[in-house]
Amino acid sequence: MDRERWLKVETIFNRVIDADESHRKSLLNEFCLGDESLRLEVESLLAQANASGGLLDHPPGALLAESATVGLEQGARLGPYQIESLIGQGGMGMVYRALDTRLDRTVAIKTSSASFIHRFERETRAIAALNHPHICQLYDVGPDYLVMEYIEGTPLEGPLPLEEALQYADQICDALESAHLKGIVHRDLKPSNILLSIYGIKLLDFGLAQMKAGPEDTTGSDLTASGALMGTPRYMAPEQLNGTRADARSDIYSFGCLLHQVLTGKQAGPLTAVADLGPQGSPELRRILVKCLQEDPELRYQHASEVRADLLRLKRNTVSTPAATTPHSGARGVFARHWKLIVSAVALLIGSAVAGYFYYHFH
Amino acid sequence: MSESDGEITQLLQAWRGGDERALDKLTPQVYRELHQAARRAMIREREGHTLQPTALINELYLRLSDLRPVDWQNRAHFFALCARQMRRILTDMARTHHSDKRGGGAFVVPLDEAPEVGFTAHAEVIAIDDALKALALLDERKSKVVELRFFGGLSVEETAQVLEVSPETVARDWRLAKAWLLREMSGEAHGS
Repeated sequence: MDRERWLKVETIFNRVIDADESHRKSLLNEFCLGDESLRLEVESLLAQANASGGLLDHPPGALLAESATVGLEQGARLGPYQIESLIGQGGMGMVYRALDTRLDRTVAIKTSSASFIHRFERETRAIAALNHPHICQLYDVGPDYLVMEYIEGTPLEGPLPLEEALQYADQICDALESAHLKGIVHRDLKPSNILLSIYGIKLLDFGLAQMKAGPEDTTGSDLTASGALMGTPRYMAPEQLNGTRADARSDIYSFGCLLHQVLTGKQAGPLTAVADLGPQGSPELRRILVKCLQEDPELRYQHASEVRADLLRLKRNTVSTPAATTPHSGARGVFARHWKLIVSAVALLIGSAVAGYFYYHFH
Repeated sequence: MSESDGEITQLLQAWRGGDERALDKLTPQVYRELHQAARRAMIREREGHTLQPTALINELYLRLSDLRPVDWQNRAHFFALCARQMRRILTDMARTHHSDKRGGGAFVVPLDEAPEVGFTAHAEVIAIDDALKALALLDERKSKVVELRFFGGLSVEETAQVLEVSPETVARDWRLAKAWLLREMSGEAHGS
């Protein structure tokens, strides 16, 4: 737009917007003198000026409130921990890789956007007591941060071949079973909370959703004071969405959604019935999924150990027949997905072999 | 009071005295000072404070003028310089964040799914910065009004002082500029 035309737009805009509302339309027509594109130009600006809720009326800092916890730089200290790098961020705050300078051990530190720890001593103790090969260990709690086991891995995402999916499902059920026995419910089971590491599955953030919700939350709901839902709705059990207290069976529902996702790469939920399991689907697999995904918790599996047993039986009955998987594409798929892990594992093996060789030679 | 404070006041005086090279040295110093202040403010934000650019700029101004008698009376120009740096800082922060969320390295530990709100907020700050660049080509003064008001947190009167126009002009510029930017960001531009 040239300068002259812009000045025209500006003049008409100011004249019309200062005028009484009832006169605006006739004024606009009068000023534009049949120049339709000019009228449209001014009209579209007037529409924006009249729309309230202005993005530009709040300081930009408020918009950036999310970056609140960017405060920690490399080398910064949090108690005995030295920050090495930022590795993730999420609803609760930032996740850093850090060094525990006392033990010379790499840890993951999760900072929180609110200082919540004082209020949750009981919960953190319970979570710290979880000691399971497939659960990310909580090591320590600071005033507004959590120190956890550092895990290298990738979030568990489907679709995966049946055999592989069942193997991971077994590990997840094992972890759930162990935590449920200690009275701890995950409450926010979803792919981004499940890492695939060289040691297999690792469940992250066990029970943290509980801490987000708050112990004095007497209604026992998953709602915060502000009414925001905790957790990820599409993996959450209906009773969690309704605000009823989550229990082990809520995790079983989320596990069902997750298993569906891992098998098919697609979401499952109350509205998307278990339909498209593809070539690896069997009536038994469908039955297991449907039982996990029952809307009424009473009709679901009541314990993770039951799911685990059914999945194990399914695995024995189907996967052992060679036709069930195509080994070549399966193996390629695994390599493509996990090549970095495999490469590091191979590098480690070669490293150990070389070290071993030198050890034997020089001792 | 740090050494850099003394250096900044010296540079400000030189700049006021007409030394344009002083501005080149001054700009990165002011950027650094405000950047640190913004980071500190954002840490405080964890406790429920909101980052107010104008508060940060005021803080820096007061600290500097505390150091020596204010013989650079032209406070407005200092604020204008700060507003520009504040814009850079905030958009840099938003861009860094935005690209982080688009996926950094392959090995990441737990990512909670970032709330939509945060994601769009960063995108919005970037969109405002981009739209503002387009506005500057069309009408430079209006883009400056937005820079001073939105990124610098200056009042209509302060903005008028910096731009040496009447407060009424600033108010009108601000009104049209906002409408233009919002339309630009909504992707419904007409006849431009």
